[in-house]
Amino acid sequence: MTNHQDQTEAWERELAVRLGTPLEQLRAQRAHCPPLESVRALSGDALPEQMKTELEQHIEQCASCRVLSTDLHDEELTATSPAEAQRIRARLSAGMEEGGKASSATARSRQKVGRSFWTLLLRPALVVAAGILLFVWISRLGTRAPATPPIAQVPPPVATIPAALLLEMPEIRMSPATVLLSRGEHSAQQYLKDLAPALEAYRAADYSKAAAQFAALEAKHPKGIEVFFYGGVSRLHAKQHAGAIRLLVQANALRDADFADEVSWYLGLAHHRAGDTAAARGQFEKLCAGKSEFSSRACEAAKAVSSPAGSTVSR
Amino acid sequence: MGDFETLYSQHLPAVFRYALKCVGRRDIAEEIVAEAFLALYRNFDRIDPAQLPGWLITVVKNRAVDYWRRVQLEQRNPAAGQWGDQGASDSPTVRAAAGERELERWLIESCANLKPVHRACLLLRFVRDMTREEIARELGITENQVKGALQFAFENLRKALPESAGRENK
Repeated sequence: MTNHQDQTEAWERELAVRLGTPLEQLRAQRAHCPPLESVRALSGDALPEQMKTELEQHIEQCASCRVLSTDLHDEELTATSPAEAQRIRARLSAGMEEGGKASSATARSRQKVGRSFWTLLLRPALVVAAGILLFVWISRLGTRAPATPPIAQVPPPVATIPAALLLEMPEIRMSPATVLLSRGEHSAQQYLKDLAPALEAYRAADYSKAAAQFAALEAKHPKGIEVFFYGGVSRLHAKQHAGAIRLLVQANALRDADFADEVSWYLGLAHHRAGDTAAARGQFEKLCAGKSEFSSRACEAAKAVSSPAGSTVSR
Repeated sequence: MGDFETLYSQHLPAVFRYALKCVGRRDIAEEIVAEAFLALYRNFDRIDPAQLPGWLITVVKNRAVDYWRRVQLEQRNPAAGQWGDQGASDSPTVRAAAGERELERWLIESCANLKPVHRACLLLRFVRDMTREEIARELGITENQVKGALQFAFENLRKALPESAGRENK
């Protein structure tokens, strides 16, 4: 073993000397190559378009990355190692034991953000406004795009669920308009205080309770996008499909650009769960034609609801 | 309907492979695969096994899209021009790289007959300057396997290198 290692190192040293300065320069230049994870992910289906284009431009000129982008997908190098299989099994077992709680580190970190939000909300008025602003700022930077949303605890009432139509729990976030208002106006701060118990129930996945809490706020805050959006999603999870559609349609009518795509997505899911395949397809096709974070899954959802399995629902 | 354990064992390799292809990192792939199977477990009585592994693949893809979106937001991923060869082909960096490019081409041509694992180890060690431990972690193999692959690749390179090469460096 020692001889084997010594020989390898000796050959490496010899080659390094013989290849000389060009090798050092090559290493220096390739130190600026994209991270290996990006190179490996280039042939996958998940990279954002802009990143993919930049990578393709790089790989066109970089022979090493070009070779690696192929070699790294060799069967031998993509097999699950025993240690990895063991860790996946452990994560899965932990998730099963938790029974419905999100298992990922990302989900745990999201819960921390949620807790800090509520802690700050209960502080004096000035701290409340600053805290909410900070929370929203952080959430818009880091978790505006949902970070691996937790799996829905209440399964949708379909006989078989195409994965494209899986119901998830959207991240809690606030509309920029709400945030701006909360800085100074007493009424806006009151709005946030009123929202707190409903959002707390929603975050705890107690959807029936959340739906009731949001319903109590509809008349008091008729322009509160959060009331109608999270209220609608809560009803969707609680299988109150007609109520979910009503609230999401109202949320849509508020024309909050920051929530528009998300509202359309969940409205499509609500129509699907209610058995109105045509209306669901309409929402998904609209999203599919646009350019938003929901575009690709909306295209898949549109296909899924058009298939016999996807259109099979039980009320 | 097959039981969950059977389906897990049956589909784990393909789902992991797909996750790795999408996110590029083994640790993140582990996490996403576990989440996908957990989603299957929680919805097990409503999923038709005939939909597998497609159902799991779609869940993994959605998680992977979320992952990259988060990476992009958090790191403001490297912008155009930050990666070595990007930008105008007559930039000083690229112009100065002509000698290295020749060496790189020779390296790759010389190991064209090697298995991907040997070639990947060689490029990661010689071009990316990664340690054996880092290579092992990146490729999901043991350090001993990396050493073995490197020895094979080095031997191959020594044979391909002209006798005169490097004499001027001494």
